[in-house]
Amino acid sequence: MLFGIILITFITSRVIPSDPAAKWAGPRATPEQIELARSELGFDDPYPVQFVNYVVRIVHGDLGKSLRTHSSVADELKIFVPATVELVLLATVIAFIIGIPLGLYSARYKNSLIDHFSRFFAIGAVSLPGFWVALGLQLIFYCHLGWFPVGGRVSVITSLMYELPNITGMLVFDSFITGNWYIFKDAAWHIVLPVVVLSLYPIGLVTRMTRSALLEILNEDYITAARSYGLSERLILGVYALRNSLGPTITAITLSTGYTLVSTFLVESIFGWPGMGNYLATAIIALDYPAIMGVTIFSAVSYLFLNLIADIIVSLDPRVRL
Amino acid sequence: MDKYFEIKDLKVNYKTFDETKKILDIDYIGIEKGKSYGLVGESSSGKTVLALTILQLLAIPPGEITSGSIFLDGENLLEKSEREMRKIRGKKISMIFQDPMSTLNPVFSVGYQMIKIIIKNQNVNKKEAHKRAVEMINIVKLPDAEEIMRKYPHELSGGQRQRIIIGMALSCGAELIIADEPTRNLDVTIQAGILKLIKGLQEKLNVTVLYLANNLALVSAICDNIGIINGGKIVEKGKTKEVLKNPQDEYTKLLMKSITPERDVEKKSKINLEENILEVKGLKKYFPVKKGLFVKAVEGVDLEIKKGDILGVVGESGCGKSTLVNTILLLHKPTEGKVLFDNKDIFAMKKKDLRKARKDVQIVFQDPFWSLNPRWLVKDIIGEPLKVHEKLSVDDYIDKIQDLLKTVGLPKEAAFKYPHEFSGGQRQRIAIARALSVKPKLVVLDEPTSAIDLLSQSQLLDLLNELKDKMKLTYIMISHDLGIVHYMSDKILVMYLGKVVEFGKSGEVFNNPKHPYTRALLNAIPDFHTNSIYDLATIRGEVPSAINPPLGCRFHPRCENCMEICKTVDPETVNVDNRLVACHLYSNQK
Amino acid sequence: MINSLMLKKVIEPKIRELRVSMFLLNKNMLTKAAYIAIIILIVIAIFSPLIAPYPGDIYIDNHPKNSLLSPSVEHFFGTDELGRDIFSRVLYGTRISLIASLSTVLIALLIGVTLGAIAGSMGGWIDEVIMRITDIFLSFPPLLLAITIASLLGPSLNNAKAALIIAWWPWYARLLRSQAISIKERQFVKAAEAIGTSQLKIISRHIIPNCISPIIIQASMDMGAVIISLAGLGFLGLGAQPPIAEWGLMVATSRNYFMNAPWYSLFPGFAIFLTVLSFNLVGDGLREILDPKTRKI
Repeated sequence: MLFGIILITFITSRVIPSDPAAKWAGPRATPEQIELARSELGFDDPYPVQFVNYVVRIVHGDLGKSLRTHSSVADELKIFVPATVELVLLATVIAFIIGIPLGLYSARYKNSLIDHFSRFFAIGAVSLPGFWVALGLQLIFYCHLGWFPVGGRVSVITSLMYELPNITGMLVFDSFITGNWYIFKDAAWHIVLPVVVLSLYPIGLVTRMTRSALLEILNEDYITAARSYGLSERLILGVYALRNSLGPTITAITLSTGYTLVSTFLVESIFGWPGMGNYLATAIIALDYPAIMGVTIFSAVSYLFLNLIADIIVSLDPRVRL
Repeated sequence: MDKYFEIKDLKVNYKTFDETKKILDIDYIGIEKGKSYGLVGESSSGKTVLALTILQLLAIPPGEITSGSIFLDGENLLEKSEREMRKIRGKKISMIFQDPMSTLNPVFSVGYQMIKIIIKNQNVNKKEAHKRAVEMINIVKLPDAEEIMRKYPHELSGGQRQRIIIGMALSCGAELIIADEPTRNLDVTIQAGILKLIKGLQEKLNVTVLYLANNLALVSAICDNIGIINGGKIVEKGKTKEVLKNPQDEYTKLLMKSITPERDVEKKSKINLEENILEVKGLKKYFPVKKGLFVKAVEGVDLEIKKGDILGVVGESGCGKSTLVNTILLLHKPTEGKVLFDNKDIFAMKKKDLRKARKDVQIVFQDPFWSLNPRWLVKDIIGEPLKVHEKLSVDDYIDKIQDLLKTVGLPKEAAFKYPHEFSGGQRQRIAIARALSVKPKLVVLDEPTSAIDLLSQSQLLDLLNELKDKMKLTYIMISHDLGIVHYMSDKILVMYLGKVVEFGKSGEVFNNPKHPYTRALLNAIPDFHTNSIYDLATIRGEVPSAINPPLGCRFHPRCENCMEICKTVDPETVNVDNRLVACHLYSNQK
Repeated sequence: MINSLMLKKVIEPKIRELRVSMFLLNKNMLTKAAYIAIIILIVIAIFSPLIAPYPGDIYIDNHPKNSLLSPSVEHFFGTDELGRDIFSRVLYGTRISLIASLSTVLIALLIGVTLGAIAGSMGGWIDEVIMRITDIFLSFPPLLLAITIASLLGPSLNNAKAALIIAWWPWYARLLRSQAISIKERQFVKAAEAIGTSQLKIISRHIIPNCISPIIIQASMDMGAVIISLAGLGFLGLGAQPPIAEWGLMVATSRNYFMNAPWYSLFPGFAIFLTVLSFNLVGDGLREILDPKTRKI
C-alpha cells in the first residue's frame, strides 16, 4: 500500500512536462547552470537508480527540497501541518457531535418534522461549495457585520504582544492547556469562521450516513425483538443501535476526514490560514513539484494511517472475528 | 365467561404505493388461561403480522389496523398508548421469534442480551441477573451455561440459538407467550426436542401459549385448540382432536392431505428394467478452509440411478446433499471419484464435450425468487439454454419458447413479462420450462416446492410427474419434506454428514427403515397418529462439524444403538434385502 | 432480424417498469422539484448562447468601460472586471459544468464498472491484481489525487477532467466489485453456470445489469460532486482557464474584487450550489425507490 503510494508519486513526478531542474536553477539560469542543477538533483541518473534514491530518502523522512525556497520540504511541512490539523480535527469533531444525534433522531422518528428538516439541511450542506461559503461568510461577518476577523490565526497585535505557546502547534488547543486565556480567546475568535465553513460538509455527510445506517438497523429483527422483551428505548437506541452501526460510523469518519482535509486546502487561502493548503496553493502556482509531492505523500500517508486505525476498530466487531 | 386472551374482529391492512392489501380479517380467537392454541397457516397467511399486532410492534405505515380489539385479561391492548405497551411487553406478553439468527443482536454476547432482559423484567441487579440467566440456560437444557453466556450468536448452532430465544422469552416472566414458528429453520430431528421443551415449560409454569405454525401435524401434537388461517381469515377452529377427526373446510382438508399423501402403490412397485443413467463411484468433495483443514462435505458416495426413476435425496442441513448434487452438475470439481453419465466419465471429458454434456443435465432451483434473473424477460430466461446449445432463427426460437410455456401450463404472453409479475408457483414453472428447453435426460430438482404455497405445490408435483412420463425424464429430487419425497420418489437416498447411510426403494425405506438415523428421522416427523409431542423421537446432541467429523461411523456419538466397533471403524455399505445400509448392525449379514 | 411486432412486445414490459419508477420518483415533492430543475438546467445548457442577453461576453467581448457594475435591469447579475455580463456567463457555465461532469462521470464509470465487474465475478488472481491497483488509488484522500495530477499535468479544463477521471474510477470499481460478489452467489448465476453460459455472457448479461441500481444512485450524486470538484480545481487555478466561463474560475476571479463587487462571487457560487443540490436530491430520491428493501425488484 505504502509502496504503491510511493511508486505512484514517483511516476507522476517524473512524468511532468516541465523541467524541474530549470525551475530549481531559477528563471535566469544559464543552460550550464541548469545542467549543473540537473546532476545535483540526481535527474541524470538512470530511472531505477533515481527510484531507489527516492524511496530511501522518503523512508528517512526527506521529502526533497522545495524548488521555490530551496529549503527542505519536510521542514516546511512541519510548520504548516499543525494549523491544518487543528481545523480538520475541530471540524470533524463538531460534525460528529451534531451529526450522530441528528442522524439517530432522524432515523428513529422518520418523516417527522425534524427528520425532514435535518435531511434537507444535510443535503444542502453537502451541496455547498466550501470556497463560496467561505467568501460569503467573510463578506457578511467581516465586511458588513464586523463580528469576526478576516483571517489569520491570531491578530497581529496579539502575536506581537505575547509569545505564542507552541506545544502541538495547534494554537487553540495549546493556549487552552497552558491557560493563556487572552491568546485562547483571540485564537478561538479567529478560528470560528473557518471551522463553520469546513464543518458544513462533514455534518451533512455524517448525518446522512448515520441516518441511513440506523434506518437499516432499526428495521432489523433484533431491534423488534428487543422491544418485545420490554427493553427501554434508551437502551435500544443508545446502546444496541449505535453499537451495531459502528462499521458505517467509522467509515463516515474516515471519508469525512479525507474530504475535510482537501476542503481545508481550498479554504485556507481565503482565510489566510497558514496551513498545508496555503503551502500547496503557493506551490501549485510556482509549479514547485517537490513541495506538491511532499504534501501529497504526507496527506496520503496520514489518510492511510487513519484508514488502518479504522480497520482495526471495525475488526473488533465480533462477527469479523470469525 | 370471557377468556383470558381474546381477539375480536381484527382487520389489518398493508398499504403499498398503489394498493391496499388486506392481511388479516380475524373474527375470533379465544384462549383460556394456561392452555395452548395453535394457529396454522402457510407462510404468507399473516401469522407474523398478527404476532406483531398483538405486541403493537407492527410498522404502522405501511401497516394499518382498521378495526378490532385484542383483550388480555380484560384489557384492550389496541387502546393502550406506547408507554403503557412498553410495560406490557415482556412482563405480560413475550414472543419466541422465528429466526433465531436475526433475532439475536450479532454484536453482543448472548449472556449480555439475556442479562439485560432479566434486569428489565425482573428488577434485579446485575449480579443476580447473571445468576438467573445461567439458571435459565440450564432450564432450556443447554450444557455449559457459563460458556454459552460468553458466546456470540454466530458461534452457536441453530438449535442452541433457538433454545436461547426460548430462554429469553421465558425469562421475561410473561403470562402469555407467542411462539412464531419456533422450529421453522431447524432440522426435523431438532424440532421435536424444541417443541417438547416448550410444552414441558408451559405445563410447569402454567403459561398461556399461542403457537403460530405452518405444520398442522406438529401443532396437533401440542395444542389443545387450533384455528386454521388462510389468506388472513380463520376458516376453521375448535378443539384439536375434533377438527382433525372431522374437518369441514376445504383448506383444512388440503392441509391434512399434504401430510399424508396418497400414493399410487401400483405405479411405485413397478420394477425399472432400464439401464443406469447416472453412476457415482467413490465421490469425495472437500473444501479447503485453512492449511490442512477441510470441510469434508461429501465423503465417498456411491449411487446409481436408472432411467425414468425419481431418486429422492434426503438429509438434514450439513449432510452434503447440495454439494453432492452440485458436483454431479459440474458446478464443483470433485476431490476424488468418478461420475458416469450415460456411461461416459464426465470429469474426464474435454471442454467441448463437457459443454455438450451439460445439455443433458438441467436443474430447477429452490428459490423461485432468485433463480430467475429479475432483469430478464421470461423469454430470455427460458431460452438461455437454447442460446447456449442450439442455433435457432428468431422465429423458431420464439415458437419453441411459447411451446414450452404451454407445456408447463403458462400462457403465451408470459414470454414478454418480467419474473416478478408472476407468483412463486408460476415462477417455478418458468424455471422448469427453462430446464426442459434443451430436452435434457436428467433433471435435478432442488427443493422445488419449499418456497411455494400448498395449492401450487400439489399442482407442481403433478406437472412434474406428467412431464416425466411425456418427455422420458429422470429426476433427482432433493427435499427436506419427507412427505413429498415419499410421494414422488421411487428410490430414496438418506445422507448424513457427507455419507450415504441408507439407499433403497422409497416405500420400503419409509415402512421399514434400517439405519438408526433413518429410523430417528422418520420418527421425528409428526403425523396425525401422534398423540403427544412426547412420542416423537429426538436425537441427542447436534450435527458435528464437517471439518472434524467423528471417527468411525459418523453417526455414532448420537446413535442409540452405538456399539464399540462403531467408534473406530467406518461401516461398509452392505446390501440387506435389496437395501444398501452403512451400519455395523448389519455388517454380519453380508 | 427482429421484426417490428416482436420489438413492440419486448419494449412493452420495459415501459411498464419505467412507468412505475417515474410514479415513485414523482411522489416525493422534493425529488420531483429536483429533477425538474435538472431538466431546466439541461435546457439552459443547450440553449444558453440563444438565451443569454449578451452572448458575445461569453468568450470574446470585453467592455472595460462597463467593468464591475452592480446588478441592474440590463445586467441581471452585474458585470465582471472586464465588463462582461455575469448573467450570460453563468448561463453558459451551465453547459461547461454539465458536459464536463457528465463526460467525466461516464468515462470513470466505464473504466470502474468494467474492472470492478471482472474483479468481482472472476475472483482469483485477477481480483487480487485489480484490487491492489484500486486500493493504491483509494489510499489517497478523494480530491487530493486529482489536485496532484491536475497540478502536474498543467492547468486546463481537460487536464482537470482527466485528473478527476483517474481519481474517481477506483470508487466505482470497488462499489461494483462488492455488488458483483454478492450477485455472483445468486441462484440465477449458478443456474447460468449449470446451463453452460459463457463467463463473458454471465458477467455482462447477468451480473452487471443487476448491479446497476447502486451505480445509478452513486453516479447521479457524483455528478454533483464532480461539478464541485471541477469548480474547486478551477478555484485553485488548476481547471478551466480564463476566459472560459466556468463557475469555479469565476468565483476565484471574484476574490480580487471582493470589496468593490461582492455580488460577483454570489451568482456563480449559487449556480454551483443549485446544480449540485439538484443532483444530490435526485440521487437521494433514486435511492429511496431503488432500495430493494422498499420496493420489490
